[in-house]
Amino acid sequence: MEAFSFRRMMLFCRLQMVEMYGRNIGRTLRVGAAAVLVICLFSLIFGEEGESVSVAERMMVACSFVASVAFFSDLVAYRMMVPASPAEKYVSVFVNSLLLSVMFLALSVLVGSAFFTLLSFFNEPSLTLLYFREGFDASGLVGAMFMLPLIIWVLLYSRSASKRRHSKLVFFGQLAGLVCFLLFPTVLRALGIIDRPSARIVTACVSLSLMLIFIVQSYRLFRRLEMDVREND
Amino acid sequence: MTELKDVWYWYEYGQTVIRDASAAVGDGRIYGLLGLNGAGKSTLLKLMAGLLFPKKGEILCGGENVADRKVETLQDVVFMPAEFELRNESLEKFVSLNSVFYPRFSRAVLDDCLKKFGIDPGTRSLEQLSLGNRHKFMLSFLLSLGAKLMLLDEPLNGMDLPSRGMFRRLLMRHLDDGQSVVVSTHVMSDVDRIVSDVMVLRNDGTLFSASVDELSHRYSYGISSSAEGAVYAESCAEGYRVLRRNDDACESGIPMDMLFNAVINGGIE
Repeated sequence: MEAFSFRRMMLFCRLQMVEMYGRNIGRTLRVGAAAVLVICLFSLIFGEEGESVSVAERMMVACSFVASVAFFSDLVAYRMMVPASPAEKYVSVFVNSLLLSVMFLALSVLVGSAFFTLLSFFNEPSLTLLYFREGFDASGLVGAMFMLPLIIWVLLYSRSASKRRHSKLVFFGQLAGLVCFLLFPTVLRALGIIDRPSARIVTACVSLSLMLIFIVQSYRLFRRLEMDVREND
Repeated sequence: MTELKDVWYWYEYGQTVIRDASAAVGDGRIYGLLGLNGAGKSTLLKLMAGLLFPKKGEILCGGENVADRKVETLQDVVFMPAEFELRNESLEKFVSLNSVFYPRFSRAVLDDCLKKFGIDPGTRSLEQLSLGNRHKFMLSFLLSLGAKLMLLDEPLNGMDLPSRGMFRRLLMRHLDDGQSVVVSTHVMSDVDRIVSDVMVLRNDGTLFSASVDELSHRYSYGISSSAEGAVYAESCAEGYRVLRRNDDACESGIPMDMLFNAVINGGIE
């Protein structure tokens, strides 16, 4: 049974978080705020303010999870001497991702809300509060949480396939199967077999199952990366 | 104790750097790891640290296979590479983030080493330290962790002469009987006064390992007009520096460079 200590996992989280984003907090906040502004400006392309806000929210949620991939990349770049087990390091990626996402979203609430509120002064002045406004669709958040295990799985599996540990045919076959599985509820709805609320439930179940599969498979791939003699060179 | 058992290592492009190496690193001993450039000293240290895994054989530290990378083993082994980067963070932050993983960390040892090396504990950016100071800081930090096995790859690079002497003194002061050190260096004079054992990695990948005491009893060193009967000889102004089998069992100090050359050239097998 592999060692797992919650305390050590959190200490590892702290080490990674500080080393990656905590060395110059002022600069990190400035870069984060700039990213939020860029996303808000980009979302304006989509026309009406109501749509822009919604698009900006979804893009910021996605961006916050994608930024978390940096923790994973740091882990797989080389073997470390830090006394932490592969399980602790692996879990720390998700914990750090959650923490980073919460912090980024908190920043985006401040900066993004200020941006759209100021923008509204050109038409009808109103207070826009991202994520807490009426009509906010939280399904985007759920979708984004699904992205991180998927991204990690794709990165690990493609690395494994590129090193010929797995067949590329199997890799692309699995990817195609994944897409089919994800589209399955949409197809059922399009065929009229299930209604919209049922399609949402089926989609949620499919997503959750896939997320668990990705998490378990990614851990196995990550552990092999840490422990395999073939990963020496 | 750390044991190397029939260890082989080769790179994917076919070069075998470690060939059937077997040795034991005993507790409370300081090993000098010597070898020519490119012999594989750094590779051997990385194998012992668990950063590389042997292609054949195994390396055990305290009975545990280093390649398993168990947390307890990683707490017992520390490694300082020949080249490393430090980030733009303060010394205190680095220590507070990294020392928590080591249960035997000693702040007193760290403070003593920093003071003796002349490193300011309030250093705000480790990235700004010179090469020599970076090595001094890292040595201080690793000594303070209380690990059972310290692996140091060219630790004295960039260090001034007084600091090299201080390194020897701090090592002798802070190492206890349960700890071992393996120091890889090209500058033999840095370690010949403190090492208890010698490991020489030959260019063919084979490893020679023996204690200095054992070698002193087995061989004798001297200057002679003739190289007859010597296991190894080098010419010098007075004739020959020779290494002979020690028949009268008297202890004889052997210069490290002579020992190294004798092993590399096959005089001592």
